[in-house]
Amino acid sequence: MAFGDDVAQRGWCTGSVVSAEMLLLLQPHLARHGHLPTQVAEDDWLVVVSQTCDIVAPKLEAEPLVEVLLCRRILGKPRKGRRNLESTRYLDFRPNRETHTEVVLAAHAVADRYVIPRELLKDNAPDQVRFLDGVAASRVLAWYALRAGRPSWPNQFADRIRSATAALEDALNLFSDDIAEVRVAIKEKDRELKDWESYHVAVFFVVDEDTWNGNIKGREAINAAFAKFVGELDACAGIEVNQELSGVLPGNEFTWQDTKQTDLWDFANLSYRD
Amino acid sequence: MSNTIETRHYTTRQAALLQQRPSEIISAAESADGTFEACHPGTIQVVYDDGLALAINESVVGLRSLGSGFAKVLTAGKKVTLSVSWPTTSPVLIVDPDEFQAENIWSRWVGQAKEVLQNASSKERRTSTAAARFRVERLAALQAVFGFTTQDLASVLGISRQQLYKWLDAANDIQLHEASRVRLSTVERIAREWTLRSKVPLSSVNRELLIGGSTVFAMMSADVIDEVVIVSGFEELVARLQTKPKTRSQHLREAGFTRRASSLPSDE
Repeated sequence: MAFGDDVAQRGWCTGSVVSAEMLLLLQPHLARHGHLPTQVAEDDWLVVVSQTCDIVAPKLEAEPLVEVLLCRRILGKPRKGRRNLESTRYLDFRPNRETHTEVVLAAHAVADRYVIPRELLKDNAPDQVRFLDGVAASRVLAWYALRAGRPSWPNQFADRIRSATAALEDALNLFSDDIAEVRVAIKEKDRELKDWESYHVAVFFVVDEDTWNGNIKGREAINAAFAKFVGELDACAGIEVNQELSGVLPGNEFTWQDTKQTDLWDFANLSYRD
Repeated sequence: MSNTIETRHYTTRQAALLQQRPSEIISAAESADGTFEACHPGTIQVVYDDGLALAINESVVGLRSLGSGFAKVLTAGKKVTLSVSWPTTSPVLIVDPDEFQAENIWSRWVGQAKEVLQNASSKERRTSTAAARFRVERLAALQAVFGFTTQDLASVLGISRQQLYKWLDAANDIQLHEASRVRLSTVERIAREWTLRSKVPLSSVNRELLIGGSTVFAMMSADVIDEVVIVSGFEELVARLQTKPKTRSQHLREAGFTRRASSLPSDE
């Protein structure tokens, strides 16, 4: 039997949690260079975040390591600014809405990430009680993907709209992201500008075609959000919204070319790039 | 901001202050280290790396020049203090530390922090009146029905594009002229008539020639709006909608190629 089959039979997959019994084996691997091994508390969840295909890869040599994320339990709800992929550094999330309805975990993308030898999975089963549900596992993977794939907006740009962030978030909360997507074109792209120079921005709210053609209330919410969003953004010192080019338009008219010339608006893009 | 404290980027500094609790800002003020005197006029330069300010121009006694980072023009005899323990990892240059020390550092920092935080909070709270919000809601409702470009909506409302931008910003508490109010109400009545007939935005057909030889858009943009004629043209436009060719995405959807399931549910 291939190595990966043994691992698969044990039940390992993305979102599996290392059992308390297995922690002793892993302890030496949970260390930073020059530091004592990280202590894993009883309440912590050490979650496997490698993709399942890598976890169960047939040959050990092909994937000798798996990545784990140390998630610490926090009280209360996932925190604003850290939930729903709002930050690329921090993630607060609910690990399993069926089995652990009240549990909320928090993790740091880099500081809480470790790699462990995959061979340790072969002789040990994951925690049978604690595991991420499908949504939580997808959320963690999407979080790492976002971190790797997001556009890196200039620090100066991020600074200039920081005071308006709450108002911009409020605007976007006026509609569900199922029915529209916000895209922005930044003329200066990644350039850090001088204090006296302005970023020139065009904003597009791209509306799902069905909503555009059949949901007047939905369009009303989107247009209200657009007005608020553009007003707040344009009021930021050093940001000029080109309102002539900006607009609300249906998805079937927003072309591939337009997509290439714009970035998806994401608050995660506003974290400092250095 | 005080003219005795400079940072690499004004806006970075400003943003950094916004993210700090006043107690942290005060702590930072206490940790200023190193006072130097400029021996001749020039530019002071600092680079910052691995938690240390590495360089400063030789115009300041006792320090060496290693490169560029942020710059500050000095006059001879001016004393400066370099603080490298600012919690945002940006070095802070305090010009004329004598004067700086002479004052109560605490009250000075508290005052500055308060000023910046107040500015920030007032920026965050762009106030709007109920009337302004209602105006924006009405315009959003119109746009939902019409789907016009900003230019087209401005034409229909009989105003310039610039005026429409102001109307659309709830922070602008502007009073509409009587003529504008009347026109807006008329356009809203027309919008209601269209919604009774179709859920598709009027923009899909508003430039189609009607039997009378005009378009609905032309009629709605005219100086005087004839509601009756416009509304009577709606039936014709609704019929045109039925004959409009389907888009590629509509064909795809009908063939079963629907959108992926939506994004992850909220984790609030």
